[in-house]
Amino acid sequence: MITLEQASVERGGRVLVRGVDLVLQPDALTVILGANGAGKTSLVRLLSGEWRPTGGRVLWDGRPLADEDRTALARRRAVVSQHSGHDFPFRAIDMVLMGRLPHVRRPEAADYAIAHAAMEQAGIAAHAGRRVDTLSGGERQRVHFARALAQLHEARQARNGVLLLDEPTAHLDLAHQERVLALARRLTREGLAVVAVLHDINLAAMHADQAVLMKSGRVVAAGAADAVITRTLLGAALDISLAEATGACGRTVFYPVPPHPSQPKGA
Amino acid sequence: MRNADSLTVELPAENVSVDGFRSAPERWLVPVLAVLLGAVLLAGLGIGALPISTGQVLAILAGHVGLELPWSFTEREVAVLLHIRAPRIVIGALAGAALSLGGALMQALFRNPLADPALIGVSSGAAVAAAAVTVVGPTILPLLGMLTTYAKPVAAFLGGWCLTALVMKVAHTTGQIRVDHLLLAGIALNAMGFAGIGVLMLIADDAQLREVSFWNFGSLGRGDWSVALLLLALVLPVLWWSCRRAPWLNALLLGEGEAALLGVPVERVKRAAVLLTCVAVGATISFTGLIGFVGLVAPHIVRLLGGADHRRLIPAAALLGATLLPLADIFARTVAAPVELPIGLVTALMGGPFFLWLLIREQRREAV
Repeated sequence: MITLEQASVERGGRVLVRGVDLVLQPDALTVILGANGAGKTSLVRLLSGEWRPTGGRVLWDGRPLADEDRTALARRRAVVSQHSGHDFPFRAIDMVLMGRLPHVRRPEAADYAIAHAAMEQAGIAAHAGRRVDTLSGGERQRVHFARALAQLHEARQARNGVLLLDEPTAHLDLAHQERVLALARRLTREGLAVVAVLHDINLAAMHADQAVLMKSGRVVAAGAADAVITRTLLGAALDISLAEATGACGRTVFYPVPPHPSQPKGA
Repeated sequence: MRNADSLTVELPAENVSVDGFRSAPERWLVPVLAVLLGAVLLAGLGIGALPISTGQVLAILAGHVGLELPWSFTEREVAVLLHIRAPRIVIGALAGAALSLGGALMQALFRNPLADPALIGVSSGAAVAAAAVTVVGPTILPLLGMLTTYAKPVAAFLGGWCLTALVMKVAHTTGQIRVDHLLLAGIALNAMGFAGIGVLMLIADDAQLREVSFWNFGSLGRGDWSVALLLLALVLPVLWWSCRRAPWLNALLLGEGEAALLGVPVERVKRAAVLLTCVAVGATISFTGLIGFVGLVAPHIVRLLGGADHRRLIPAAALLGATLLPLADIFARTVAAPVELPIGLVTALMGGPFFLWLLIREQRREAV
């Protein structure tokens, strides 16, 4: 699995990630939370190997991630990125089949079956034959999720894969947000380590096993989700006043409150 | 039916077949284009100042391999067919395939369906070198004893290669090829290349001026069988690589970062795409002169008909390019006979409006 030791990233003279120590838990859904520009996506890029650390180390099974064979790594690590917008008229199924690229040169019937199963899991199988440029943003997002599932098919069986999701719920309606995170949660039970960058703190509180709270490129808190996703820590990391309430099923729900509640709106 | 959220993945599902998701145009695209190519080649062999019927064309070709067909033909028809029309039409097909392949590779590299092989500077480099040989060559090259029939193609190929190398060098300063820099460097060096041609045209005499202008509009009439074989030897490896690496080209369309995360050696693919385009397009235009629009339009049409998947796009684009250029050549030879129009003029005249129509259609579709 992935370990970060004092990992830093500097690009274009800006430090995006500073001295992060992190051990990614297998069998767990780790949620990364933080304000815009806090370094969440940069952290995902470090974890995925897309970026090399400019300081410290990123280790994959104890060895530097950068030394890992590209294809071998792609068989066990999949990423669903924030923006995959493009206008090339691929069929959804062909897009999902790209996830088989690290495994086979030419997809065969078995790969089509894997892709189809992944699309069913992502709730997008009905659109398998549609062109992605005719799908909505949320549907495209689910196609990319299915691609990651198809990519990790073997790793799921070997229980040694890592799935990195950068704002997987960005374009999704409420039902599909729930569905994606519930699926992510189930994948952890198959032995995958799942990391998700989220903005919705309540969604995070509901599903996360582990949480990492970031601010200005630093990790301000990391550990069990219950201990990290708290009103005070979140408020400090996100620079916002939060209140909490207990929902119907006994869950804590956070909501923002204005800095001066006594002041009437618009005054 | 399996529950959508179930964890077990049952393989293989009976109703999932490799071709189950393909529409009819996608399945039939390559075979139909192959038949079309055959038809255009046959027509091109027959049409011209000396008309030869399709039966006679078949009889002459069959006679060449020892078969006898019931059509009679004269020695003159055999000579025209085998030594003038056949090499010309084969060069046309190979040139069309090369330009179209170059276009498909550049469109994948730039992730832009409107990219053109000329973007990397190969065309303007070749053009400026060819113009230099025409204008300055007669003064300098005889001294070196080098003014052979091949001086111009060789110079054009080297010119295309040099300018592409320069474009690559500019875009490659940080150890990675930056595609946006590649594009901008290509634009700047293309402009400089054409300025160079302008300077050469200023000092050229009338005959040279005419020759430079003619070269810049292309012609398929300059080659023989040796040129056809040379082009075949250069285009086939490019086609082979592109077909073999089609899945990588597909992944590249997701974005360089995404492709790398799927295990694609992105830098290697980018470098190979540029170099192979330079080889295929450079070799082609060094013999034919500049021919525009085929490299842009052919892959684009294929994408509209059969989608973006390079496993189908690459062979289909090569076939369509190989069909379109001989077709344009037939038109160039016959429309104002006995005067022959420069083929680049025909491709620009036919390709330009067609391309504008594509653009407008695309805009309308997006508006809906």
